[in-house]
Amino acid sequence: MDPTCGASPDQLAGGFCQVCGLAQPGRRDHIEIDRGWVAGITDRGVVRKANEDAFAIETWDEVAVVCVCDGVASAPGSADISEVAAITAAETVLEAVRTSNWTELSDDDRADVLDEATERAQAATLSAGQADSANAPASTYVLAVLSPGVLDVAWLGDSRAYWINEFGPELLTSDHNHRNAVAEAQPDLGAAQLAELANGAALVRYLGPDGDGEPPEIVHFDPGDAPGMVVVCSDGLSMYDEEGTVMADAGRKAAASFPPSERGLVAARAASLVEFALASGGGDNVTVVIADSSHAASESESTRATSTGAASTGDEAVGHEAAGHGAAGDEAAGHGAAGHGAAGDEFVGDEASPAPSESDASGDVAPDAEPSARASSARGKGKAT
Amino acid sequence: MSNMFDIEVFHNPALAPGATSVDAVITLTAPQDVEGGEEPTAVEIIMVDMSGSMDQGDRFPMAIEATCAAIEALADGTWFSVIAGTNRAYPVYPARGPAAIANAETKGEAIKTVRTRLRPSGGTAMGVWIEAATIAVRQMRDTITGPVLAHGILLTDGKNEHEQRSQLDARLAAAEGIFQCDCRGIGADWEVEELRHIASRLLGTADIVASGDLVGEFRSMMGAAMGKRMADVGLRVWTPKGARIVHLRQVAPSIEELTDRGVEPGAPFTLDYPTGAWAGGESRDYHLRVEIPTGEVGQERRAARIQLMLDQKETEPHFLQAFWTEDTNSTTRIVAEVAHYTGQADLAQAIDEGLAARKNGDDKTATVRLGQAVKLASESGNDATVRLLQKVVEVEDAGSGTVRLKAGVAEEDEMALDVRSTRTVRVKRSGEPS
Repeated sequence: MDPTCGASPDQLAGGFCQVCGLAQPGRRDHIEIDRGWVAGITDRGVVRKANEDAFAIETWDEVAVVCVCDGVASAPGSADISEVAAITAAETVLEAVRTSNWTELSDDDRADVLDEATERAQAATLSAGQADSANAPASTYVLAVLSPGVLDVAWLGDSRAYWINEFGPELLTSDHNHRNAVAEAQPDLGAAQLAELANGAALVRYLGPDGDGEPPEIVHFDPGDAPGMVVVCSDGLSMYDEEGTVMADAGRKAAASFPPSERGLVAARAASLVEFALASGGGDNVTVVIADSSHAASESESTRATSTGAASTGDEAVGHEAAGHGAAGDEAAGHGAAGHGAAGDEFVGDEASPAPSESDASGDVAPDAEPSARASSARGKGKAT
Repeated sequence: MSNMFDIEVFHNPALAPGATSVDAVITLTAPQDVEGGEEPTAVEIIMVDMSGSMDQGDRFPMAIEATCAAIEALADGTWFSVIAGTNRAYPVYPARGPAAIANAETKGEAIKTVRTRLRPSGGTAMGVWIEAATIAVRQMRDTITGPVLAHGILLTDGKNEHEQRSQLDARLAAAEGIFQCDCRGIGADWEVEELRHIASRLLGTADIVASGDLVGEFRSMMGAAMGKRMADVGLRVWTPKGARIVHLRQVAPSIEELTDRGVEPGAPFTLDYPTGAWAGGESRDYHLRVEIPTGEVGQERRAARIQLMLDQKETEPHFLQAFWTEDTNSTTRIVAEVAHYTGQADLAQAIDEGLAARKNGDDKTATVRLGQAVKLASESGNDATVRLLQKVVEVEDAGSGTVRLKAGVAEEDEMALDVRSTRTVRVKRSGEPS
C-alpha cells in the first residue's frame, strides 16, 4: 500500500501517511496492538468489504481494560461508532483505575464505573451517528476489566468474553439476541425450534443512537488462583468456536511454537485465533483481544520501565499496522477522535457462514424484545439482582 | 504509581466539506509521584530590587523579610544564590562562587547577610540581574550531574529604566531554557507589560503584590518551585505537510502564548514547544489550532501528532484526527473545552483593550470592552476576574455586560486587573459533578 501523496510506503503508520496525514484506504482492514500481556487484533475477514469491528486496550500496572465493539454492517456509520465507543469506554475505565485503588473497590463500585463507561460510550455514539435515521448505526459492546483476583465484564449484544485456564474455557457473557430473548420468554421451546427462529441472531441490545440506553449486563467473575486469560471477541471468531475449545487450544499451540514471530506470546495467540477464523471461512469481521493474567505481574514491571514518562493513553489505539513491536502508540488512533472509516455499501447476508451473524437478519434488530439479565451474579440498575 | 503523563485531547474531528481548521484542547497532567530516574537538583536564584526607589515606605524592610522567608523555605540540598539588583547586579550570598548548597548553616548565613548588607541605591536594569543569574545557573549546570530544576524569583518596584528593550530581550534570550522565573512587582511604579514580558519569556508568572503580603507571596512562590519534579518538559507537535499551526497557547491555569516559541528539532514537520518544569500531579490545558489541507468527503486525515519530550525522549503519541462529512449534526457539534477557552482568551483581550482605551481617555471603548469582559467572566464562572473588574467598573447588569467606569480607581487595582487578566478558570468537564 503506497501513500496516496507520493510518500514512500515506510512513511505509513497505522494506516495514516506520516507526510500528508491522510488515512489510507483500508486503514482498519487489519489492526494489531501488542502490549505484552494484553494484545488484540482485528481483521476484515474474507467476505466483508470493510471492517466495522473496533477494539481498544488500556493497561495500568496489573489491570487490563479491553473493549471490543462490532458495528452492524448493514447500518451505515456503524464503523464510526464502534471505534469511538471502544476508545471512550476503555478510557473512562482507565481514568477510574488510575485514580482509585481498583482491586479494593467493591463489586458495586466497579460496576458503577462500568456503567459510566457504557453510558459515555453510548453518548459518544450519539455525536458520531445520526439518531433519527430509520437505519441508525449500531454496535455490540464488550468491556472487560481484568485485575488481580477479579474479572468484570459488561456487555450489550453478541460479542463475547471467555475465561480460559487449565480447566478449560468458560463463556462469561450471553448474547443479547432474539433467540436468547425468546428462549427466556418461552422456556418450553426446544433447541431445534429456537434454531429455526427467524432473525434469531438479530441483536436486541446494542450501543447506538436508537439503543435502549439502559445499563449493560454486568458479571463479576472470580478467576480463582489458577492463571488464565480472558478472550474478548466478536462473533467473527465465536461463530466458529462457540464453546471456546479452539481458543483454549490456541494457548497451548502458541506456547509450544514460541517464539512464533515478532509478536509476543499473547499477541501470537490472538493471531492464531484470527488465522483460525479466516481459515474457517472468515465470514465476518473478526476481532480477538486477550489479556493473560499469568503474564501481568512480570510484564507490568517491564511495561512501566519501558514506557517511563509515556502518556498512559497514547497507545489505546485502534490503528496498528504492524505486528509485534511494542510501540503501539505510533499507530494510535486519535484520542477522543471519532475515526471515520470507509462506510458504505457493505456486504449483507453471507450464506457461507455456518452460523448466522447480525447481517443475515438484514441488519434489523428484533423489536420489542426485553433485555434480560441471566448470569447469577449479573447486576443491572433497575433490574432485579 | 507510574511515571506517565496523562494526555487528553478534546476536539471535533468532523469537518464540513472544504473546512481546514481544527481546534483542540489538550490537557496534560503530570504523574503524581515520579519513581526511579535521577532526582533532579533544585537551583534557586533570588533577585531583589535594591534600586533607590525601594527606600519608599515599608518596601525595603518588607523585601528583606520576604527574601529571608524565601531562603528559609529552601529545601535542603538546593543550590541557591541571592542577587541584589540595581542598574548592576551584586552577589549578596554567597559572596563568591555561583551558589551555596542549602542547609541550616548556609541558610542562616544567607539570612544574616541579607539583613545586614543590603541598602537601596541606584537604578534599575532587570536584564542585567537576569544575565547575572544566567551566568550563575550555567556554572551550576556545568557542575551538577543529572537533571536540574532551575528557578528564579525576581522582585521589582520600578520600570526598567537603565536598559533598552533590545538589551533586555537579548539577555532574556540567553536565559531562556537556562532557568524559569516568576516576577513580582510592588507598588504602582512598575510596568505590567514589561514584567509580564520577562515572566513569559522565562516561562514564569507575573503578579502584583502589596508590600504587606510580600512575605507570604515569597514563601508560596518558593513552595511551588520546590514542588516541581520534572524539568524542561517539551510539547512536540507534528502536523502534516501543507499544514500550519495557527496558534498553540497554554490556556489554563493562565494564558501563555507559545505559538512563536516552537523550535525545529530536526524531525520533519515537527516543532517543540517549551512548557518548563512540572510539579507532581500538576495539570494544564493547551489550545492548539491547526490549518490543514482539506480533503474529500469521506476522507480522514491526521491533523496533528502530540507527544511530550521528557529527558530528550518522546512519549507515546496522541493523534488529532479529522474527517470530512456532509452530516451537519457532526460538523456543528461544539466542543465545550474549545468553546470555553476561546471565551477565556476573548476575556483577556477585552480586558487588555478596555484598560488601554481607558488609559487613552477613550471612555466609550473602555466601557464597551470592560462590559464585555464582565459578561464573559461571569458567564464562565471566572469569579476572581469578576472581582478585579468590579474594582474598575460599576456593574449594572453582568448578563448583558452593562457597566459604568468608576472614577478614582486605585492604580494598584487597575494593575492587578491588567496583570491577572490572563488567569483562566478551567472548563467544567462533561460528567463531572457540579
